[in-house]
Amino acid sequence: MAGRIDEISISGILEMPKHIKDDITWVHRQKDWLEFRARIECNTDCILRLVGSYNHRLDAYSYSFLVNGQRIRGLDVGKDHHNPTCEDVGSPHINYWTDPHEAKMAREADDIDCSSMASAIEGFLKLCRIDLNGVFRTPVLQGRLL
Amino acid sequence: MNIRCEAALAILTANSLVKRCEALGDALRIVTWFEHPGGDLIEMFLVEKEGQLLITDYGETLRMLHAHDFDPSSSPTRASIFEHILRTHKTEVREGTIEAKIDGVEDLANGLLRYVQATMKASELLTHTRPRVPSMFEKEVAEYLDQHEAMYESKVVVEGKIEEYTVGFALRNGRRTLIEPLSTSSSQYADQLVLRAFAMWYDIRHAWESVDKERLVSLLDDRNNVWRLHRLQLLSEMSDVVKWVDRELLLA
Repeated sequence: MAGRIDEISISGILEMPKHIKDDITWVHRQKDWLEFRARIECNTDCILRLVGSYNHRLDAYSYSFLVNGQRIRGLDVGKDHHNPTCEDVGSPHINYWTDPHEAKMAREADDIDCSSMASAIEGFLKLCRIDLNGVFRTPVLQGRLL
Repeated sequence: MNIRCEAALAILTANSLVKRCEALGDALRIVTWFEHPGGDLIEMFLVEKEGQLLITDYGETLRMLHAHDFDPSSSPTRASIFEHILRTHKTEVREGTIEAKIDGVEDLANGLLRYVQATMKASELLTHTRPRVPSMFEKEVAEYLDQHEAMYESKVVVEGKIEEYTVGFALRNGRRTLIEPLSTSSSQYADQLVLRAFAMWYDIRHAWESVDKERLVSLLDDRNNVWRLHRLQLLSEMSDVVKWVDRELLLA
């Protein structure tokens, strides 16, 4: 695929079979938040990644599906959003790529159960059509399961 | 001008900079109408620490950048720009958290503007990055391998001892050969590329359980005279260094 990401190429990538073979595990990145990074296997010359972050002080988290470093789909819990087309979108919301606005558009995540981080990632992976062969491990903080 | 000062002031104060404010433990969470480049609203948290009022982001700016796979500390230039932005607006970063000190409640509006300017400009570094797409040189390498019907994979993820790397190519000709193409027209950036490749090969070698598991090749685009000999000698301690003019050595 050519380097430029657009809605047509994204649609093609979303249709393709994709999977993460390893477990998803969290590591402390900064004082207030943790992260994970996972490689997505797919028959494409693009680099696909799933990354996540969790701010334990704010109980806010994000999952991102990245293609060549561009966030083509995202789930943000605990953040308000404002679209370039001027609608306010609350939390949780799903970011999606459009050619005019790139990664800046969002809609309400009413099709994803965000009552827990595990159910949220399950819904997000389904939305992106990514199979997880490994296990999603919920972040553990100070001996407490979140 | 037809607008009177009192009227302008009334309009500006009626249009608040803040969407809402709520208590969050010992802090005040203030959601502003200002946006990060991705469209999320910038929040700030007002806390008191040892008698000093502070505005903090609780790490949310760097976390937002992470969601877009962007790390300001990933290169010295980015780190320097990031620090310069924060310093200019009298803010600082501590353990990944951006903070602005304020001199009492009367300084709150001023502090909000400094903080918002700092976080907006810092997060706009995101818009100055290029998507990671194959370079022209990588395309030329792929074409050369195709012409010679070599069996290869591109953008191969290889685990090092500390982290994983995406290496340009993996050739399957008996023992696997990992090839990292290096190309630039800047001698300063050439030094960075060489040092980055050195660190990558060093880490990959340290993940090997046996010696010489794979052949490692740094492939230089030598059409630009930017490569310094002493740097290449360093690189040759970790990998074969092959110039593009000698590219048949890749298939040897």
